[in-house]
Amino acid sequence: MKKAVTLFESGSHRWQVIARDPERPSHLIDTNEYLVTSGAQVMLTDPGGQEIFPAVFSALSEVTDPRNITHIFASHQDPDVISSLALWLALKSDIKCYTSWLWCTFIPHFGGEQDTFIPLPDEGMSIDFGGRPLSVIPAHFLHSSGNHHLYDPTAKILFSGDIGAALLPPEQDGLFVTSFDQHVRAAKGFHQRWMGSRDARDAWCNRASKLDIEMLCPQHGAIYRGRDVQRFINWFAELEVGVLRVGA
Amino acid sequence: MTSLNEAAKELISRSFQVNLLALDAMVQSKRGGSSLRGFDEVSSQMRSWSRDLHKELEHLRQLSRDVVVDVSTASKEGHLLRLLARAAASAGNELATQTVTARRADESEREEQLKRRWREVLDAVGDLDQLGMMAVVLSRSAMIEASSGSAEQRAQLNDVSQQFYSNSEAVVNVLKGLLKVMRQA
Repeated sequence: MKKAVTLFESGSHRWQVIARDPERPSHLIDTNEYLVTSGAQVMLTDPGGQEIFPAVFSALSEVTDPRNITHIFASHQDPDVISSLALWLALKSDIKCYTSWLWCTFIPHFGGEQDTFIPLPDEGMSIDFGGRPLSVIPAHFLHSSGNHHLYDPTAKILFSGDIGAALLPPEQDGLFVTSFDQHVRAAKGFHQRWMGSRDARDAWCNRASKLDIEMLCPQHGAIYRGRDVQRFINWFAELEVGVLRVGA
Repeated sequence: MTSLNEAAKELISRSFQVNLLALDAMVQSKRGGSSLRGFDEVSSQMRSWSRDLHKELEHLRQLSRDVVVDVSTASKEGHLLRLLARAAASAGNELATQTVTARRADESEREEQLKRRWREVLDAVGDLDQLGMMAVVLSRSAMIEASSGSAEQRAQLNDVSQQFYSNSEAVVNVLKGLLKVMRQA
């Protein structure tokens, strides 16, 4: 089963990652879920697909009462991101889900009513989260056409959805990036194929470079810390994207 | 449901044929005067029968659509319940356990509703079967009434009666086959 690991804690403000499930069937992509707590507010980012719900729920229950979840943040509409929504709502029907306005009529196919969703505008927005500000950062076309990330200036954490994601081999599944050069080899093909727009990539790199980021937390793979964050942004800024046949 | 839809198509086609035949027979028997009043009456009843069959088939089709929706919902909810139960078992969490218990109660209710609906479908097919038997009786009456006409009329009306009969028999056979498949389901 997955395990929850604390990434940041200051008073009642906390970031935890739920990651690495050794029992996950190999036909399901591995995902990281992040639990952001601030006072009485608890947000789960990209809560994952239906099939991994038991593992996520179990790990989450060890660190918080699931009744405390107030919000879900869906970076985009993919099934590995948000197809478990109906299950979270089965447990607590008043959870609100932040997602791009673009997906507010698509994601309900996974679950949720009209008032479940808080549409995110294309330009992003600021969220007052338990007295702490959280910034919703636009990341459109990276890879989804309606895509947002979540930045916490207090924790200096950027939840970056699929950006920074890596499809790691089993022997290289540490929670944090330890060897940047080795790590990006596992990230390269993914970014070349999934990220289709240079303009969108450049806009995101420009935006991300201006943020004070201690940890860049993707939905798949390992977390970038410290200097590796800017190294990743620079690497991504130089990468050829929109490549149909990686390695061809 | 595939066999039900196929059967419904066949029955609608038979009902349509009987309707046209009956209309034509009514025109012919009216021309034949008072000696064919009986045939006219039987033809009129065959026409009403075809309309009743059509109406009952619509009811059956609506019931079958409801069953499909119920089965799909049960399948989706059953999958979610299994995932919630796995979560409850691995987390030992009170909220998840309560949710699973409530959902199991909903699932039992859904199963009961599905059983009720299925019985309604079987009843509807049973009613159609009775309707089919009635058509066989009516078409036999048509054969008897056909003998009241002149020699030329008899030949024509016998032919119509035979067609009533073959359509009625086909309806009965389709429904018997359908009932057999559905009772095995």
